[in-house]
Amino acid sequence: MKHIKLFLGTSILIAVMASGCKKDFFNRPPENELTVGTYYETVAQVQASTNILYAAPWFGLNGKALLSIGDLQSGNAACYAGTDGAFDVFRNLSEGNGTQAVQSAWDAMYTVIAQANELLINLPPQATANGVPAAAINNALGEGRLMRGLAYFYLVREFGNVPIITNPTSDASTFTSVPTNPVTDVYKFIVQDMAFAVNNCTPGVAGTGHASSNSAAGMLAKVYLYLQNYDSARYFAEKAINSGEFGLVGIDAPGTYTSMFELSGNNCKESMIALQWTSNAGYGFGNQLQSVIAANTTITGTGDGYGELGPSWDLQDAYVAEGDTLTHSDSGRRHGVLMMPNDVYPEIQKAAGGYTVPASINEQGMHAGMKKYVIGSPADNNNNTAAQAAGNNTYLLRLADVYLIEAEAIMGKASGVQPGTGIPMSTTSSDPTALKYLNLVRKRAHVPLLTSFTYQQLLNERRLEFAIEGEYWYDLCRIDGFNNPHHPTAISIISAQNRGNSSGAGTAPNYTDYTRNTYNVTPTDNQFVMPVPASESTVDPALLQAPVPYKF
Amino acid sequence: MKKMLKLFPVFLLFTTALFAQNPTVTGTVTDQNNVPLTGASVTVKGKRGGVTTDVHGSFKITVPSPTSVLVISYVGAPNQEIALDGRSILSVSMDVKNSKLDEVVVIGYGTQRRGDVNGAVSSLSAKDIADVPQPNIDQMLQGRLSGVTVTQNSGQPGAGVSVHVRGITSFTGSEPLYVVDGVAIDGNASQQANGNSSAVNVSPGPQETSFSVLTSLNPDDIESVDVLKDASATAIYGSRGANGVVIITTKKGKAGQGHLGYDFYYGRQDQARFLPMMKLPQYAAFENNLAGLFGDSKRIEFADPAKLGPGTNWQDAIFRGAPEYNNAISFSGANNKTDYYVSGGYFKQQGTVISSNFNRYTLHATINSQTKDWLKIGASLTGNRNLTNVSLGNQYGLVYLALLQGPDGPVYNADGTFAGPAIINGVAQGYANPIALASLITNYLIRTNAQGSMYADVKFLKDFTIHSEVDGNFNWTQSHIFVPTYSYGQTGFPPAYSVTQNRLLFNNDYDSYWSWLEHLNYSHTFGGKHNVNVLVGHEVWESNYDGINAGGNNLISGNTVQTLNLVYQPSTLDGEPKGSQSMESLLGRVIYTFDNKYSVTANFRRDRSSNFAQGYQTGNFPGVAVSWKLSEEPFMASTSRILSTLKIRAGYGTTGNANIGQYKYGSAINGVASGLGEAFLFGNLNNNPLTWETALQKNLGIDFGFLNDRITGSVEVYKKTSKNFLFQKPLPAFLVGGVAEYSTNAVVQSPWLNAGQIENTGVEFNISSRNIVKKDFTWTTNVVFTHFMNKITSLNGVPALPGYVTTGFGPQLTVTYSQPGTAVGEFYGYKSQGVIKTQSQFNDLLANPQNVLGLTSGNTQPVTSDRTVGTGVYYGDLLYAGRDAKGDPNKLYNLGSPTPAFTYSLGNTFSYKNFDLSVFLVGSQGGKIFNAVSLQTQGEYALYMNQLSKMANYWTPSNPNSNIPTPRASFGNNNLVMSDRFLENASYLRVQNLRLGYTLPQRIAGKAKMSRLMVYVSGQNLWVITKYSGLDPEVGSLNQNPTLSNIDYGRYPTPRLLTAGLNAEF
Repeated sequence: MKHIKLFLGTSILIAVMASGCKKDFFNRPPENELTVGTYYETVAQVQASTNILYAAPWFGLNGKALLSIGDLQSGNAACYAGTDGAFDVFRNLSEGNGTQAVQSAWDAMYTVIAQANELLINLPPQATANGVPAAAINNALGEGRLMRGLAYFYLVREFGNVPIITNPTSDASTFTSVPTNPVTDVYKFIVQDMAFAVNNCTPGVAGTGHASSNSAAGMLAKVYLYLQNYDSARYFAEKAINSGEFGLVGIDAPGTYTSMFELSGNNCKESMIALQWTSNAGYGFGNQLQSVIAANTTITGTGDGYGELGPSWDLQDAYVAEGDTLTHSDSGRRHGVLMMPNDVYPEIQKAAGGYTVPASINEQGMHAGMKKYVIGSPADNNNNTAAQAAGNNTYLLRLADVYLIEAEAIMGKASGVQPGTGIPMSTTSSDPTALKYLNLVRKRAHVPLLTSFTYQQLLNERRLEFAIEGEYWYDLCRIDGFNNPHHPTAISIISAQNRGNSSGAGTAPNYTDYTRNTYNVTPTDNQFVMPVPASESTVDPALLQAPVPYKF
Repeated sequence: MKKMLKLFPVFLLFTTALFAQNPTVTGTVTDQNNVPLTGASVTVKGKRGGVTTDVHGSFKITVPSPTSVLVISYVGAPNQEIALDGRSILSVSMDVKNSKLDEVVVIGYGTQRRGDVNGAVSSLSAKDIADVPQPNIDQMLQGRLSGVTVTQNSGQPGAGVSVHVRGITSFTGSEPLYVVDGVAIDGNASQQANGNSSAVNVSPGPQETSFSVLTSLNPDDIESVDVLKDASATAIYGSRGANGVVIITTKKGKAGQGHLGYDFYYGRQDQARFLPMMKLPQYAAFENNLAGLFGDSKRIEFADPAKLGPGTNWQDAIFRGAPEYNNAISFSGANNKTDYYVSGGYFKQQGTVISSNFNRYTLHATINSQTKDWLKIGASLTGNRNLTNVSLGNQYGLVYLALLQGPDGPVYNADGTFAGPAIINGVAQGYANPIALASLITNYLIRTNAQGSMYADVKFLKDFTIHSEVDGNFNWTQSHIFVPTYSYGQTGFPPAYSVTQNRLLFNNDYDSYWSWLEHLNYSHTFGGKHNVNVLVGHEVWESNYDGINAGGNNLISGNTVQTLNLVYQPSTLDGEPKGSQSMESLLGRVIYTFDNKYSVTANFRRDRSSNFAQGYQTGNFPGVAVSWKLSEEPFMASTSRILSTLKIRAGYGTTGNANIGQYKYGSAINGVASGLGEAFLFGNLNNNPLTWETALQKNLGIDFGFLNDRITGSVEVYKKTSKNFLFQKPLPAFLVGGVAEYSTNAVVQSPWLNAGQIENTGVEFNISSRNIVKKDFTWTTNVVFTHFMNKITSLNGVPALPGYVTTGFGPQLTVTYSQPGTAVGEFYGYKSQGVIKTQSQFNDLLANPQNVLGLTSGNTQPVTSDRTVGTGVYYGDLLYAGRDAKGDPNKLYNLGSPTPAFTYSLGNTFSYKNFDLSVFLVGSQGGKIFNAVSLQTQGEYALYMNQLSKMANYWTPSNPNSNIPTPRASFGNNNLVMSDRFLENASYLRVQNLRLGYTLPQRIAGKAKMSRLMVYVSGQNLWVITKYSGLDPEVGSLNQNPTLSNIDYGRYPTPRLLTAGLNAEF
């Protein structure tokens, strides 16, 4: 009896131990996330898979980096000495490899590239296996390559030689010796990506916020303009223009220059490629431009509005010189870019009947404030803005740009300059097509139309049209010719700017009444390329060495 | 799994039915404190052979007659002879002499006498920590145990503690496994099944958000703490024991009359140390100088600094004297079959920084019953609720704001509203008012926890026991942040800060853990000398977590009722953190002892974890230890009067780590928000063959006792090597993206890898000495010493693991660089050569230009006296070593390790008649602190920012002896790069506890029906001797991240605490 009990007892114990748990007990895929194997099953999923490429990965560029590189460095904007270090080094072009905005610009663009690469690698086999139609797949791949190409376009303009990465896993074990690729190869790569997008993206969808084939054509035109391939630039610019998909706000579509940068301007007729932010997902998913540049928290109503940049004297003067008067009655282009004392903005503080800019406004000592991308409080925007997260788009390309690209391509072609040599500033054109597009932009801006124009005027037009969109710096970098290490023209433009602020507060009737402090900066040629962030070059010293041709 | 659960009751039924009556005597042997004695020998008088007690002190012996006499013997206690007189159940209490070596030590799935332990185990008993007014047991461990380094990461009530058993062995968290009455709790707060049981950041940037995992436990309920240190001891916990195992056993009822106990103390905490910031006249003069240097206009109100008053002392405004009190009541008892212990506690603590506090309610019950002579069952249950007011946390938190806020602004306006900085030229002349933020923002965390265990021990045959145990642990966590609409500013100015849209964030998380353990024990003594103890077991556990994160903006209803119901616009922050893990283990252990002199312990564990892909889930973890009690040898007999105990131990074993969370081997796609609707992000790169991290440990120990064990102690030497450790390969941003403007939302996370090797070597010892033992006077001394060094020996090709910090709103700064050959978290940066004061230094600068700012290649820093140029360098700026004539970037250096050379403690206890006095000192020697807050408090780079008072004395040609750099504009300027300028000596000696107690004479206490009444006063953290210039030299690591140790962000300092309490028993 006793032996039987012993046998039973121990055999049950052994059975428990030996049986173990089922295999399923240890198979635990994520319970609140998808995996590659559970996605790309429908057309809708494939279409939504590119949404991310217009949003969160760009966040690090769309703030301090965009403005300090594009507008502060180029002299459109001004700031004090001795702020938190994010901006003021760009004031005298002395950013280093540890400067936050330098790292942000690099990291954000490679974040876009990383997300695009994963999409391009994982989507085709999975979606094909799931029977998703080729058209949907190709459109997604086109968008993926367009946004990847665009990210490389920012990188090559900022850092020059950069590594071209298409598959992170192939470099994951050798990343300490990945070299950079030369500027020319990076551009060649960008052209390939964008040409693919032109051929594969669906046309006519830009109004949904997704780039269309024609959006890609406009962007490719811009890349060709930088390459000084004027024929191709003109070809693709006209492809975009003639598609009929886009129109100028204020001329072909309702609205004004100012309203284009309001929430209501999202995906307007002029928008070709834009970042698509959301206000209700917190930091990192919304547009933070307003929080950075709005003059005060009264405007934003969300505790931010740090007023970190003011419009430079040089920019204010440039608007006056162009006939954009600085009086508050003006409703033209300047009104949409800068706030001057006593300006009235009905779209801000709507409940109080609009916002009247106080006479004492003095952002960064410049006796003016920033307006572009400043949209007001949640109450002004049907709650579609929050702290450091507004819901308005950021333009990466709009039709006005393509119009001016068209004009410049015509002028460049006629001037006969070769790639590597800039168009002389005094070059004049009265080409009717070029004039037509330039004057459309000027007409919308309420400035006098021209009968002929110099390259200097065209450049100035670009500056005024795209101020505070992070654009002017890249123009200054390229006007001495594609991939030219010398920048005599740009240096002469920059060294003539007064980058100082003013002394003291006040409520003077004219902005010229204030005493200006003088601060001049004369850059050197190598300040036209930013240093590779230290966080990258310490890990991969090869980034600091001579570039290696890319194997296409 | 289901199959097993169905089997379980059947199995219990069988085992209970199996072995009913037997003509034998059963019983338990305990010491005078009712602690079961393992290995006590029970024989029938006059007969050979016999039995030994098992791990629960139980025995069963066949007797020839009901009137036989049993002889019970146990090392260190006089033999007892007990006449049965017909009894078949016995309860024997042995009077074990009070030696450390005789204490019972919990060794994992069992107990052993300390003198018999082969592995490295440190222990603490209730009396060692009695009446130490600390809210959590992990804080009490500080300095008490050799080889265990405890640092408080923050003085915030309820905040996390770093406990490192023998150094840092992993990058995925080096906190030990806690086992509370059988319930396993992972010490890595962030690796808890519920990774969300932490406070939510109010603002971006690093903050201490992890909370002590042991806040749920009332220290008054703890009977003993045993720390398994070496692998031979921890291998029985296999994969879960890599960072050491802390076994916490709660109190049990003791034999005799029932006890009613009541403990109370009241304490007052104070901030002991303040930083000398500038007062208003000095600040005004300094601001004027700064404006001059930076080309800005001077402030009109600062025209005559000498006429100004002292201004606002913001440190005074945010720190306060804060009370705390503790109430604990317990009743307990035991008869010969059942013991019980029930307690309730309430602890309330205000933080020394305004608006922070901590409340805890606990209820705990334990019952054990020898229901049948062959069956013992028991259960333990704990329920508790914690409420923590978190306020703003560390960085950008209240301490930080209070230090930097200028003394010119008032806290309140004359009308009682919150004041803010003045607005001049549209610019706020200072920072947000910390008092206003603390009062306006709601940020609290409520944690509710229930944990319990139930077991049954079934004895069968001779010497066999089956132990069946089921444990559970359930947590509910709620965190709640509300930012109301507000607007405040100085009277006469527009509001400096206003929020017109209020915001609610709400996280509700639930996690559960259950485990089921079966083990079979066999214990037998052959031939009187060969003692064998065998354990074979099976364990399985699963943990699940699930939560809801929700939030919304713009509650038009206002700020009073803070509920999601009133949210007008819900937020797409809404999310559901969810996941699970499971593990199954087989375990076995054999302890063989010969003649009480030679002993071998061999153990083995095989774990299967769901955290790895199929095919990579299993790990095997063996361990072995041997010991030799030399003092039992005849040849030592001659010295036994002096050297009463001598034992040598050696151990070798492996343990593992799978602490990475679910599905880290695969790549996930996350749904996030975008302006185009739901968007899909690639979460990470995959690495399917990911598998166990293993640690290999060798240990050599000596236990000794002198003068009849008046002096006892042990010395341990060890080497611990972690191989294939798990970490996320830090890929550069150009491959996967990188942090940009504080956001990493869209970065494709690097793959998890098994790579590299870390070695920890160490020496530790502890000595206890009963110096004087007289009738009325005793004096005992305890010394604990711990030293370890860690070194990374390989990272498998990864050059380094950098540790980043962000301070203020500045850029990311690399401050540590963990690379092969260095310690984990080694500081890394430029080496300063002092302020440029002389012509020869200046000439040296011209010959070998400075380049610490990484300008565009080929550009060195301009030599300019224009102080607005942040990149410039001139007289008055810091010169750094490692320059050359070519203008290459300055060389970067390893600047020292945060790990102390050694830590130590010294405890002395005196008792004279009814008085007792104890003094406990802890110290840490060596190691560096990176004083990150001084990048701001000594930054001198911007206006409107208060500075340490000494900064006014910066170098100028007319102040030529100063070593403080001249102000230079822009954060991150030449003088504010990561350098040894901000590293300080972390050594300290702290009077941790001083306590004086008085026990009322029995005759007086007895009149109040009390069996004991003791009153005491105690001081905690009374005095700190340190050269560190910050608020507190004990910094810990940021959220337990080993690469970010000893980085002071303006951490919530540990307060000084004075308490008075009483301790009554009825």
